[in-house]
Amino acid sequence: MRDTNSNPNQPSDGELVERFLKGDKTALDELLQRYYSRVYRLAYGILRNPQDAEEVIQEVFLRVFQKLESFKGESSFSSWLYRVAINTTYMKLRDRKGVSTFSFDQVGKLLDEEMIKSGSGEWVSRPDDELLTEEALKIISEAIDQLPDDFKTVLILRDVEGLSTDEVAEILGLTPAAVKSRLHRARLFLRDKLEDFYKQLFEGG
Amino acid sequence: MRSLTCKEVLQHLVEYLENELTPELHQAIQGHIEKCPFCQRLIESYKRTITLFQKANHIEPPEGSKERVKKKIIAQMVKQTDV
Repeated sequence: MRDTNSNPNQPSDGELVERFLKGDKTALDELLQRYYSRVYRLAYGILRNPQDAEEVIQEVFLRVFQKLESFKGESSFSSWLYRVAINTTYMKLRDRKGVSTFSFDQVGKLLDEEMIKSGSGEWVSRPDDELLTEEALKIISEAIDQLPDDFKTVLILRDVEGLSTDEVAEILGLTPAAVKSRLHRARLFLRDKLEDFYKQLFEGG
Repeated sequence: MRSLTCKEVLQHLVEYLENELTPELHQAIQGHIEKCPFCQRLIESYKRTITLFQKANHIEPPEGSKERVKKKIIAQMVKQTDV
């Protein structure tokens, strides 16, 4: 079983799963230590509800323990776990609200030319960095809600969890080029929503 | 290398920021950016957007969350074994 935890002094993820299945509860502690926050951020990032995120984690680990036999070891354990987490999160989302109505194509409309049109203006940076303000976080939170879930997933895995393009491609079953394209379009979509904020920040207007 | 347009810079932005381009293309983009206020502003706001997204999503699970879920997983596993 391929494993992202390559420290030889620590048990691999696969060993921990097997130990837990044989009754060693401390192995579950270690697995949760490794993956709980990551899966939580992913599930919460999509579902925006702490209780739903917890239910997803519970289902993810139960599925992993039940389906260990079906894991072929062709990808790393963490990639497999992320895949199960994404599927479980999307299922929860469907149960909750039905299929998302916002499509890739709608985000695709915000491509290059529109960005260039909307972004004109002289670039004058102010010395005081006012970026991380409540105002900007409020704007971006509202914009994130408008992103299709598959775009959010790419952004969370890539920009929050810091996975490589190739790792995200493996998890999502996409080509690296497709991952980069979604990443870029999602970032541009959010950037565009923040345009008024940046105008104030850079131009003081 | 010929000079690039703003649109071309935008198309290569992901790879440029991750240093994945050929040295020639990277340098050509860098040269364009140095002379282009529009691209400077675009890239600055693009990078800040990434930082903001990270900040908006870098949440930790609430207190007691992990223990709560752990108990439920164990209870469910025990239940399944009993059946």
